[in-house]
Amino acid sequence: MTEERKQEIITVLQSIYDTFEPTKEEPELTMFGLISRYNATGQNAELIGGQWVRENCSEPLCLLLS
Amino acid sequence: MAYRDIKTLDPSNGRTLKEDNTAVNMADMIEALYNALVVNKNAGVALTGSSISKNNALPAQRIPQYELNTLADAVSVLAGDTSEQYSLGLDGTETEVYIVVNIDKQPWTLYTNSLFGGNSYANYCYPSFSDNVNVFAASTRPAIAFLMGISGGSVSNGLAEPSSMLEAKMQSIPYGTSLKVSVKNNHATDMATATIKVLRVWR
Repeated sequence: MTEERKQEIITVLQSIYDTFEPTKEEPELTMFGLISRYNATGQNAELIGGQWVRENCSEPLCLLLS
Repeated sequence: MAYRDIKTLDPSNGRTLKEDNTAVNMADMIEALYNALVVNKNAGVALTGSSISKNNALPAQRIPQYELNTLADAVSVLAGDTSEQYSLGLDGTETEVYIVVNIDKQPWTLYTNSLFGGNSYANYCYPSFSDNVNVFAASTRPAIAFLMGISGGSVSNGLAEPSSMLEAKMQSIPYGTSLKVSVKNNHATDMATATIKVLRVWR
């Protein structure tokens, strides 16, 4: 994966994090919620998951609960 | 030198003065100690427990506890694909094991194997999540399956499939240490996100 592509992914993930609104069913954004929303964009050609986020993203993304 | 017969001697005063100038009867105290230690052999205290042979293990009280570990952390599974197999990380001491799944597409199937090896099947768990048509996307309400370690209602054990958690637990066998889990995304077109956790319980 190129650095450029990596930054593109991180930007999308950060946007998902920033726009998350808690609900009763989902009181906080988890790693599952983050990747699920990212997959819904149809952009996950690389099939990244939580492990990729923890290894490549800084806080708060890398600290999301599973 | 000959001594006088002790029986002919007058007994001495049993009262003794303490540091606070109060007197105690040492004779009575000595008699009480003698009775407790020699006559009654219990020091006046009720004994509990029991003697255990050196060849036997010491009994211990197990305090119920649990451990929840993440095996697959929001993995992405293509439509029609099965995730990789994840080791459950069991050490064989667990009383009960549950597999906890969040997944955002349906239908989906949960696969586990048994300590006898071989292929993985959906009905090694109860309930069996086989082509399940429910989505479990809320982290607060995941799918939870009890690991039986054997196929429910297996031909090999001659039992009917369990119809309750109680029956499933009665049919379950020890887990061993080599058990694995995976999920299959049976959706026709969409990628699924799956998080798999294992809940190990000691009762």
